[in-house]
Amino acid sequence: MKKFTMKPILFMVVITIVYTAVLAGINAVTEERIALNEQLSEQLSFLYVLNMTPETIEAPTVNRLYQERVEEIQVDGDRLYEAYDEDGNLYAYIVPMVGGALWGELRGIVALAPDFETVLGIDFLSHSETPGLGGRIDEPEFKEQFRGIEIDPEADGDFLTYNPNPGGQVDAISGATGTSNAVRNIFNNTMQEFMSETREELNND
Amino acid sequence: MINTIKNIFSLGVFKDNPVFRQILGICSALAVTNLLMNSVFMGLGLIFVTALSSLTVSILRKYTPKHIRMMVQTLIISAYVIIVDIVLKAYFPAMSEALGPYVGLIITNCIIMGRCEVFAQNNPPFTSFIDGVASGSGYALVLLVIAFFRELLGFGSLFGINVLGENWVNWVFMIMPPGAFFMLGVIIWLANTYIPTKDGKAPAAGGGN
Repeated sequence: MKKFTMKPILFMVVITIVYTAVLAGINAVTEERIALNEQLSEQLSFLYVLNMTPETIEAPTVNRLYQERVEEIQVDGDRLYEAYDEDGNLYAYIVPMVGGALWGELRGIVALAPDFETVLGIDFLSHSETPGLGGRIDEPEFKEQFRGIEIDPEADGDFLTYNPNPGGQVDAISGATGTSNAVRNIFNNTMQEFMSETREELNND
Repeated sequence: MINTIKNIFSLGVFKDNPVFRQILGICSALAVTNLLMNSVFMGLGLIFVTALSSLTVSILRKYTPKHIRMMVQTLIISAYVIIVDIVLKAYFPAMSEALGPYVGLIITNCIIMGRCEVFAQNNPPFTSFIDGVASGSGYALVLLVIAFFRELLGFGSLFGINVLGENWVNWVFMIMPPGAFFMLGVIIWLANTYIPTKDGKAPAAGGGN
């Protein structure tokens, strides 16, 4: 039986404290920058769905444009956003969507014209789909298809249909059927809820 | 001294390469090699972590109680990995997103702990540091070779710049995980055939001749 010593415990405690202090320091220095990066990428997504992406992607420009155009509102406990054009007229509603995709949670936003019949744009804020396959929902080729598609506000759950089905509006991604279907379902569920509940509230305002 | 450094590099990068000789670090080598840029950052991250953890473990080797050395190594390695993660998030947000969970998973990369345990535990700080850089470079080199072919054939591009033209039909297979296994297998095969082992023996000939 070896004699019990405190040395290993002390050693571990000391080295843990040293490293924690170093990491906390680095974290404190970069915290603000990281938060700004996240905010910038989110604001860029909002401007992207409105098709208002500025020519220079610099934090101050993006920030100012976002403040000017987008306003958060609460309807019936749901968070959504109103967007205005240059003259201050209501240009779009931006609806957040969230749901389970093939590998994990997918978060995105959809911009709808105020008549609720046209999708202005769509973007994904975060997802964990396979890079090169489902991950291609991030590519402009996929997202740009959603610009200006017509949807029927009174439809029952099938707002979005892929080609070549009858009434298809956009192409799915070949080789990524699971992700494509998940995007469609998340989109349709979000729209179903929005059209049946939130829209009435907005009309009443 | 120069000879020692040369010898360490020739072992780390070729004769005892962590990926194609020791078959370590395979998970990330397969996962992040679909684009060259991802591999560059992953390689740099691993060189940084391996070099500095080896250095630190070596400095502390005389004071670390033997039976808790693995705990200490894990702590040291994870601290450096967190630093890499934070720096990527703060200064290269796009890259941080592309690499996703694999930055955090550097902690579990066996190459790093392997070098700490085998080399840094028994060698002075400077040579340990060089050994970490060499092993990290060996890993990065294999990643770049795999990524070069996967991106070229799978996307028709290199570092995101299209080089094969509009008419190139992408090999989707190369972007998917099986493409990585395929490339890695080819590299291990070529390495076993053409690169001598560390005992100076001629490479082992495959097949039952």
